[in-house]
Amino acid sequence: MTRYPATTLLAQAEVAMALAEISEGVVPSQVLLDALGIDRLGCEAINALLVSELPPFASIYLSLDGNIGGESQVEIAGFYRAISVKVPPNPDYLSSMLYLLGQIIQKEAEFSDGETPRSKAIEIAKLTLLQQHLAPWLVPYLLRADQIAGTSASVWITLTLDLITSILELSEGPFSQQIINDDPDQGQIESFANSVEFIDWITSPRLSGVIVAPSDLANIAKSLGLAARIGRKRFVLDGLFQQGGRELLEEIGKFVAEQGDLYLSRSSEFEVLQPWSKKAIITHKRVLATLAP
Amino acid sequence: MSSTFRLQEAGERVSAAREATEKRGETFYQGPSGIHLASHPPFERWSDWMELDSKAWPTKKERRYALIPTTCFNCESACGLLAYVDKETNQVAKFEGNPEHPGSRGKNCAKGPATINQITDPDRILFPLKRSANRGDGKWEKISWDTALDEIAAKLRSSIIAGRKDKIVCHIGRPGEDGFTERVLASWGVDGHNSHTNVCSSAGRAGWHYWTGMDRPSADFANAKVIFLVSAHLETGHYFNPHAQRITQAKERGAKLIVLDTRLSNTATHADYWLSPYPGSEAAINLAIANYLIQEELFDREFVRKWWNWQEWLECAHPELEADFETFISLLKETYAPYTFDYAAAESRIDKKVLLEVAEIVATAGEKFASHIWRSAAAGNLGGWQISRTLLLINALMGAIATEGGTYPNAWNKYVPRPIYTPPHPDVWNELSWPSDYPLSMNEMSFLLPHLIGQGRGTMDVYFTRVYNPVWTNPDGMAWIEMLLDESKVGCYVALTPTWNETSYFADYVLPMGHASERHDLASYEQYDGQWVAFRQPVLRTYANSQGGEVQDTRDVNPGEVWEENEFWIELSWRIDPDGSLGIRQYHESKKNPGKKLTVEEYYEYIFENSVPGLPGRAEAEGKTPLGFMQSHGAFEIKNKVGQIFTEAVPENELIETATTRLGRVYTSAAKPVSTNIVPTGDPDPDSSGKRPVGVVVDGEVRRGFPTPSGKLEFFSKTLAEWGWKDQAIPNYVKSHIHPDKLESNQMVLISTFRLPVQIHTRSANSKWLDEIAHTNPVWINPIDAERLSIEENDLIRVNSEIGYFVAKPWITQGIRPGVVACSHHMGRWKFTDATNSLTMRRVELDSEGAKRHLIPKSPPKPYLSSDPDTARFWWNDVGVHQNLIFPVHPDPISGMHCWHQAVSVEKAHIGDEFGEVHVDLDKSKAVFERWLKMTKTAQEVSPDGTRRPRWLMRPLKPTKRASLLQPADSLK
Ligand code: SF4
Repeated sequence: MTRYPATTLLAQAEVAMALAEISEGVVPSQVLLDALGIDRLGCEAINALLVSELPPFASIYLSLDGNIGGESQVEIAGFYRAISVKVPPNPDYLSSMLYLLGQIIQKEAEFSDGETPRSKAIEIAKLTLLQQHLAPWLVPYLLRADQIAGTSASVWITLTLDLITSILELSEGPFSQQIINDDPDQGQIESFANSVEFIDWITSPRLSGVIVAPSDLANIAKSLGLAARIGRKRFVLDGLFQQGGRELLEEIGKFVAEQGDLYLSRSSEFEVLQPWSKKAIITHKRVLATLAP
Repeated sequence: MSSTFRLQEAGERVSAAREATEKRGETFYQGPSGIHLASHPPFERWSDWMELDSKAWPTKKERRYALIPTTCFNCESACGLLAYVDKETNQVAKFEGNPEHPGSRGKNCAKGPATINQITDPDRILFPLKRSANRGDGKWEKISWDTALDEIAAKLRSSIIAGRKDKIVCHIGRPGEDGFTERVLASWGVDGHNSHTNVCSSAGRAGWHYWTGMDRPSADFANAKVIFLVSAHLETGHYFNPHAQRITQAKERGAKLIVLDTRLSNTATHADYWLSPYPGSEAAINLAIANYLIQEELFDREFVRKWWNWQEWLECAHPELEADFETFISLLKETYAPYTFDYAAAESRIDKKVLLEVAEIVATAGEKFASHIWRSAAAGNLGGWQISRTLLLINALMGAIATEGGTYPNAWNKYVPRPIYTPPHPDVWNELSWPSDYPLSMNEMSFLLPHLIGQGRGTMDVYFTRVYNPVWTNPDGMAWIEMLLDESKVGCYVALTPTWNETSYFADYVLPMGHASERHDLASYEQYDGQWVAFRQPVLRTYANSQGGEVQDTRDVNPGEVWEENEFWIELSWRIDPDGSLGIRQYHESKKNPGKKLTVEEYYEYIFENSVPGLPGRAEAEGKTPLGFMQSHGAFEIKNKVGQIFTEAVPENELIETATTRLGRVYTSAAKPVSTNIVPTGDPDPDSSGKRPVGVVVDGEVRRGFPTPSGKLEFFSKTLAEWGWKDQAIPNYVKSHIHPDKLESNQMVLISTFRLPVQIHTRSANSKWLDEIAHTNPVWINPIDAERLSIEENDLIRVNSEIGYFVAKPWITQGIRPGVVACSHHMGRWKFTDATNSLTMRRVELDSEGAKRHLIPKSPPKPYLSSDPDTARFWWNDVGVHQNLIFPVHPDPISGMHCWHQAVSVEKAHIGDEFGEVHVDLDKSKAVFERWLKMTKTAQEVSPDGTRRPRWLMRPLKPTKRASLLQPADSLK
């Protein structure tokens, strides 16, 4: 297997830990921001993104109900335990996971001058973390983050994607995480029975292949002249469905299709995006089926 | 640019920045916390910390803060706090944890951050007040500090000049700085220190003291394999937050947690084994476990052989036997054989299989057995001190004394730096605080004061309470009111308090004292195997100084004219002795500027420069003075891993002209080296030729040993044997005053001492966040008892004690065992004046009829308008009942501890009974006092050497040998 030299590994580790710090959601030190080339505006945009738009908990994107916690969080906690690392209070929080990744790569650099059982074990740990627990949701997450936060957060987004790319470049799959494995059946496309079923579906990224942020809903509401209430996404959607039915679904359908296209357009770079685009396409088809007379 | 290249470049830039930052000794990565609540601002950014203003949301308004450390004042744990001083308002905006504090490590319980409620309480006392009508009428006038100081100083001066040195008493509640008040009183030459300890922890202490010569456990919870708590320690116990976080740490590593608590406390819910014993049977359980270890030979024989005073036991108690170790072991087996699991099961009403299982777990711990007891069962029962002593027996059997994961004596995990002056101890003995009826009492018999004064044993010229509320906290509060109202008994009463309380309403002077961020103190407590000091400071004073401001004294920065005690006591001492002729002023004078008053800066400068090892060097490395270091970090760890001091070899230079007793106690003529750590311990007497005890011979080597008369762990206390209690000289089970054999058929046990993790004795009456969480104290009652007594959830109940009754609400719950009821501390606060507002004090009327006293509720607390809009919003009006009023005094004849548990009968309230009302008969309370007094053995009867109390036992002020001798008229018993 091809390996990076220790200097590259150390740089990767440093960036992973620096990105972890930025993903904390607090204001990091100016020295760190300067070193990464992130200005005050960028920092605020990242914070807003993490706090209000796309909470960076893996379980939201990997669980069936789209909520924090549950089985997917337990699985990630199990990974910490398996490699004898103390499980932090929120093991699936992005910053915890990036910090762990940085620490593992640092260890990898220490043992990089030859292939030993130890160095092999460290490498496996790194790839497992990245391939099973991090990349499957972080890649589509970052693409959505880029759409939502725009250029202000681009340094953070680009560096995080660079980190994933550079590690995956020298490794192979398979991605064994559920989001990858539960390849949707494209045969039978069923319409949604009612708005409740639709809301359950669309608010679960794992089911729908779609990541919806509060600002997406606000934009859709605005474009239709509807009033969007504040609160959890499912309540916002519920409120919107009480005001508008068909047009709303059409608009959401467009939004879903755009996401499917986005993932498809980058899926040659990131294999992990393939199931995401497939799922988004199915969701789009289900919306169309529901709209069909 | 390729991604790998971009990454390489960024990585190198970050590495360079990190290395440069770390070279400056600063933190670069704070580390991920998951979510940011668990992380702390790194130290190097404390001078200018930015946060977004949460109230301005969704607008992003930046606020800049200076973060100044201080120490929490809300319990004895002395956790570190960080005050966020808003640079725009120059006021403290909030408190969070101080990550630089080695005990609390950045964490706090709810009470720490709630300090902000206390300092912004719209009803706090802001100015010195003097009563303007009859005592107890609740009428006040504002006076200047000068007037207050002059008037009080004049009274003190005249008492001191007249030689009425036993008529000045200072009654301490929340300790501030170790030894500060004691030294002030010593400088006045009075034996006036009075503490709350005999209603708190003196039984827990006594058990420890008789074993080790030190009076508290310091369990190394974090490294323990088995943790054994006789209490709700994890939830609310002493050193709550520092200990809870270490117990949790141990549990994460797989340590087993065993909890003995009659009540299903939050602690019990975390236990691997929760044992709910019948109250008072805890010592029987401890002894059954000890007996199992002894009979099965699962104890550390070598440790016992080397470090127990078994020879002394054989020699004194069994002179007929061979004085060898095997004989001792046989005797030990024989002595404890009756404490079978069957016996313990019958006493505790816990299945014997469970007791055996617990004993087996204990046996696996080896040296990593961490046990703790403080108040709880020890404070509840007659003979409660033996619960503590029998618990330590288990540690002593396992050799788990001062081991990693074991239990240390507190004094080795604590550092009390030698201050600038240590005045000599007084040449007078205060019989009201230390009556010869209780020669072995661990601490002052403070809760007996009204009864002793009532018997005509003495009076007080000037009585101070310091952050203390005896009318509410002590048993028999009505007797306290009676005493305070009588000016012939209490000439002048001065309440030093930050908040209004039930006792302060009877004061002549109410003097406002500061909270955690408004005063100076030094603290050091045993919370792990290490030694640290933490600095409580008036944060706005430190902030003003850092901005170039001039601060004369702490009043300049505190709200209103709130002061700190240290400056107050220095000022008061100067006014008692303005020209120095009484010899008092010399202890409060500057050394740098002779003839001038000592300032708090100089006081702490001296300590930090001379008495805290390692601090000057560490400060210098940061380019700071030692005082500057403490002002900016708030705490300093002197030592980590202190280890087994008792095994240390005594250095040659301390072994001059030694004399060694037959049992190996070594005495020396070498002077005691001056230590900068003046932590109090037992102080064994010199030998007959005046040589001081220096060590003990173990296997031919002179080791440091323990500060006990024998120098060893005293399994057998010769002191107890010689002072009339031969039958209690070894760890033993005393049947409590609420033992089932002693109860009437309609009586149950009332547990009244348990605390809630979010309240602060009686000082949190206006801490709105805490009050919202907990503001009432229903009586816990098991469904079986409720059914038997036909009590339903919404009923009112009467709880009847020996001297009266209160009316309360029941809480029917399986969280308490049948036959026992429980009611929490803190609640049932009251006031009889409308002069003050409160979130938890109901308005009441105090009424009397002969010896009968009544507390009649008038109205619950109501929302009111103030500078804080929240006072108009509070929603609760059920503030519980003041149960302590119906508790007569129960002084343990040995430890002197008030035995809190009560034998009560519970019934449905009578028609016309009102929630919160309390009725007491003072004649009955006097009769109970007299009955318990008969259980004592007075010094006159038992003192083996004509002294009033064994001199080696710890005592906050230690009168001279002359003053310690019994006088013919000492006891009126
Ligand atoms: S345990 Fe709580 S109340 Fe006690 S000092 Fe610590 S933070 Fe303050």
